[in-house]
Amino acid sequence: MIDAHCHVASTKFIPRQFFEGVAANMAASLPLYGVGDKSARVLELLLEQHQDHEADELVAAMDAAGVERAVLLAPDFSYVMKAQHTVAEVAELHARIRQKHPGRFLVFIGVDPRWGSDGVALFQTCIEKYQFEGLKLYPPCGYSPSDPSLLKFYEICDTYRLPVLLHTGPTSPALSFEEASPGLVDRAARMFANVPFILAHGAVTNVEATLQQCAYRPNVFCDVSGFASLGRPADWTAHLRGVFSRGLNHKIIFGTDWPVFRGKGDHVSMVRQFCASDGPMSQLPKREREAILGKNIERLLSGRPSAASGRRVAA
Amino acid sequence: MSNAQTVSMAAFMTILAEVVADQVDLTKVTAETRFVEDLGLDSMTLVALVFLCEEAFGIDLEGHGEKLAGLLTVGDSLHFFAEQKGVAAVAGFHR
Repeated sequence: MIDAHCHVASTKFIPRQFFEGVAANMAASLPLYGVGDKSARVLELLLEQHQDHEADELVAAMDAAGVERAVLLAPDFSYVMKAQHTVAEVAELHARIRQKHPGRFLVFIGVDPRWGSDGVALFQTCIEKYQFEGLKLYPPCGYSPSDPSLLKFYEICDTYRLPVLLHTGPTSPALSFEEASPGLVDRAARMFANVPFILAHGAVTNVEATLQQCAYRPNVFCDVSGFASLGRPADWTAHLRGVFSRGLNHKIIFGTDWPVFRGKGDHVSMVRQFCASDGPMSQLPKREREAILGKNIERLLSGRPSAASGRRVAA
Repeated sequence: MSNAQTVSMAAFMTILAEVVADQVDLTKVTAETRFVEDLGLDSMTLVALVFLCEEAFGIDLEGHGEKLAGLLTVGDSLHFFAEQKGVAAVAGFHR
């Protein structure tokens, strides 16, 4: 099983400003429960829960849940927020994490396209030096996934047969939601028909627009990450059953978005509930369950050698 | 801060009732009840619960975010709160 949407739960990689936005949004609901202004405390709680700097806890959770590998996504927030590390440092730290846990992690590195030619060169270096497996884009930082500034990045992805995973839907209120619509990928997906584009969270937010892309663009996929945001397990189970009934299970990829929804339960619980005999995949044939849980993402990664597996990833 | 001398199940149930109202059957809540899977609490509700428990039990959970994230059941939470208050056990139920 592959968890194709994870992050290192570390304040090294997510700026404080991002957390401040999340905390403010959470704190806004507290008066409903008779709790006063606690935004500073909520922020501290969030920061305290992001101290797994070398992904040791994540690996332990993966072991307990039966997850063989995970895709670590490293978005570049540094163009719009004060970040603890540069993109180059983030890349190096992720390479070290992968080295510490051999065979467990694939890495999609993020580079904001507004870094220009320096950013393109850095991305190429990450692909060649660290053998990272994909590009992570975060359009809420203020750019469309079809922005011309991304063409050079997509050319590299085309050359190396790398997938692109882009955030869609809402995020920290510190960022813009305007560029987070799934349909904005259309021009890029049409121009780069050999590059797989994965619409992150697309099975959870903006579902119809996402599934339309998945249904009609052969190179557009989506993941289920963030499903825990939909309420209790019975709620997201019912929702995902509907998504899985649309005849697109060759396009849907499993991911938890760990640690973003850790308030909804630990990683092990999320994976177990997803795979449970009464879970969202319970009515699917084995072939489709396997596709969602790993075969689909493996297929997208099959174009180049995988540092996580030490071999070419089998389709 | 509250002057509560103990961490009691009864006090916790009062807080829980305020948070979840009639969304769940509180008569079925036990030490093993899980916040997310069984009660269906979302992350915001859980945060509210933490702050309300701090107030009711007179404890300060600042600096324990990582630990709090790992408390998945009612029983584990109450025992952690009791530890923080410096009392040996939770009044009202046994594990």
